[in-house]
Amino acid sequence: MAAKADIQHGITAQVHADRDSVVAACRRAAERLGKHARFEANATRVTVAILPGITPKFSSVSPIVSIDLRPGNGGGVQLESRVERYRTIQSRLFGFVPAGPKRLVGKQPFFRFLDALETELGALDPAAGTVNRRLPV
Amino acid sequence: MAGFLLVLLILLLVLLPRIGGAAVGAVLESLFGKAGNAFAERRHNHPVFTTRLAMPDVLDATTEAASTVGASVQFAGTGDASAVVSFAGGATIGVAVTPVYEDALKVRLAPYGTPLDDSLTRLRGSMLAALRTRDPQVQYG
Repeated sequence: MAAKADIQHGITAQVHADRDSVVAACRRAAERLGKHARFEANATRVTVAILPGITPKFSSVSPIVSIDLRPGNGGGVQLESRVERYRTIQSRLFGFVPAGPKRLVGKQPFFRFLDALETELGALDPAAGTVNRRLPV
Repeated sequence: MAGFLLVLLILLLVLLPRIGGAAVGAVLESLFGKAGNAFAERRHNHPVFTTRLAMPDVLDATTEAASTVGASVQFAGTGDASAVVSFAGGATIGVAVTPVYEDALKVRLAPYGTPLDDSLTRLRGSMLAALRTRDPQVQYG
C-alpha cells in the first residue's frame, strides 16, 4: 500500500473517562513500541513520534502521530488521531528515476501503535465507548 | 571504437547492476509488501494476551469481558481452556487459552465469520480491562 493510503489510517473515539486516563492509555499504547516511540502530551494534544529502524538512536522520526483530545458530548473525551508528518522511501531506477510506489517509513510500528491504541481505548470504556478505526477512502 | 568500449564499460559496471538491482528490489518489495500487509491485518484481527493468571481466572475474566460488552452479546460460554462469545450481528469470537512458558498463559481471540463490525474491538478492550484488573502486568500484541 502506498504511503498516502497508509497515513489515512487513524483512530476516532469517544470514551467516558477523564482526560488523564485517556492520556495514560495513549502513553501505554506508545510504550508498546518501547524505545521506538517518543511520547509528549499537553492539555489538548498527545503527540507520539515513531522512531523506526533497528536502533532508535540513528533513525529519523516517521511518522509523527498527533491525537487531539476534546471534551465529548455528555462528558468524557473525544479523540482523533492523524499523521502530522511522515517520510517516504521509493525505489529508483538508474539511481534517480522513481520506480514503484512511495512507501511510508515506519509503517509497521505505526500500525502496531494504532492497534495498541485501539485496544487501550477499548479497555477504558468497553460498555459505552466507541472506538473506530479510520480506513483510507 | 574507444567510445564504444567506454559506453560498454559504463553499461556493464554502472547501468546493468542498477537495472538488475531495481528489478529485484521491486519484486522483493511487492512480495514482502503484500505479506507485511496480510500479517498486519491478521495481527489486528487476532489479538493475543499473555498473563500469569491461572486458567479459571482467565475464563472468569472472559465471562466478565463478555458481560461488560453489553446487550450485543447473545451467548458467552466457557470450556476447560476455551470460550466462545457470539454477537447479535452474527460475529462469533473464539477465545483459546494455552500455556506458553512457566506460569504464563496465552489468550488468543479468533473471530469466525463476518460481519465483525466493532464487536472484536469491544471484546478486545473489555478483555484487556478484565485481565488487567486481575493481573496488572498483562501483555498484549
